[in-house]
Amino acid sequence: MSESATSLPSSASGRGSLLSPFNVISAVILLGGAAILAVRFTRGLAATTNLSYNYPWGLWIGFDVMSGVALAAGGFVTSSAVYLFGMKEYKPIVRPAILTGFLGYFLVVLGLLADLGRPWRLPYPFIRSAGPTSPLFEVALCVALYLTVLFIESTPAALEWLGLRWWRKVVGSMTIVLTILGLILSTMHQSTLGAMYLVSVLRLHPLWYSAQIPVHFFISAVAAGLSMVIVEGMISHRAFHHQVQISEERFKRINIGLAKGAAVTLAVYFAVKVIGISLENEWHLLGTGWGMWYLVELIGFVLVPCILFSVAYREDNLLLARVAAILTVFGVVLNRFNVTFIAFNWQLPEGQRYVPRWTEIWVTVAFITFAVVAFRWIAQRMPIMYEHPDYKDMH
Amino acid sequence: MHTLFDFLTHTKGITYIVAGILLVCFVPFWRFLTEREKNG
Repeated sequence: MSESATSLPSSASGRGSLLSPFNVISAVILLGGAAILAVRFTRGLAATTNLSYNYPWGLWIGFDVMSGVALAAGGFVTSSAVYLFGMKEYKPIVRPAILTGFLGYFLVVLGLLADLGRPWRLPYPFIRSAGPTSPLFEVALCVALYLTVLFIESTPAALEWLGLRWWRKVVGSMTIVLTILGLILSTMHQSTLGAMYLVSVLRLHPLWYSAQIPVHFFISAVAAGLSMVIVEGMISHRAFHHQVQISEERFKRINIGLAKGAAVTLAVYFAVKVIGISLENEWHLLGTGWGMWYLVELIGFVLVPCILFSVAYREDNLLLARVAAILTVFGVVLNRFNVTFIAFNWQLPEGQRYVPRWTEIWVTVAFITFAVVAFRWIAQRMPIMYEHPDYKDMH
Repeated sequence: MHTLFDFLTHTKGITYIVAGILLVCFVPFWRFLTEREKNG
């Protein structure tokens, strides 16, 4: 570590006993998850999941991959805002957002390894059978490249922590290139995750199926990313309050600014969804049971948070912005669940529908716990929540 | 509606109206959102 570490915000004060309630609960969840994964890799998917030929994608894809990628969008949104669009006032949230993004994408890969029938074939698109006309190929390529970009973007904190000044300067000089790459790769694969469902015209309920589904996925991912930065900031600001250097007022300004961005994004998303219903002439479906469920998603988790974000920005109300952010995060996860398995194969009789097994839920919770533990471990040691005094004003 | 042309004419016509309404609605939404900035 660098010599000036003594002048850094106290990182040790955040560390408690090894047997703290957080550590004990995390250990139980992680050990349980590891045991289930051991069964999954020795006895196969059928022993640990309710996946079938009708539902080859379940919770692990619906949450770990589809939702994980969307919720990790805060990394490219904030870094693009700061480094490409010159919104320097948001710089204090870039590092936590990029770290959240990196851990999110890391979980995507972990989720894929657990879900794929033959996980050792994960690198096949790059080394054996590319299939460049498949949307899945683009997703594989972009996720692999963007995970690498996020890893490099996350290294300045580690390099500062280790005191490797020369390497830190090298990585710092790559910031703009990495940000542009991150923006391009994210735009591509966030939308292509939706494009993968273009082939499911008869399987996905018409209200969720749309020729514009790639656009839906991209816009909702931007809203999810902005909201996730607010939610992550709410938690980490409390957990690492001893490290935070910016004032409460500035932190509030940043969050209120994000609320404005999220309000506009959700308004556009709402408009695009309504236009989608109109283009496919599906108004009559809104009166059915599926239509009610669709309206719950569209009104409860898009329009309502959009209004809440707008009022929060107008009234300078941070609490309201946080409520709206939590609603948006839930809404995007609900949308991905609907597309992946709830409204997928919607014509099947009740008995053949997919419901996640408890083991799938446990593994997903274990993955989230792993990300939280990793974030905590890194943020307690490295300059994530604050600026290292030796590297001020560097990218 | 009997032909694809009928369907497209109908849905596109409705969609133009819906898109117009949404665009018009965006103006008061933006004014509501940014009123605070104007008031300083």
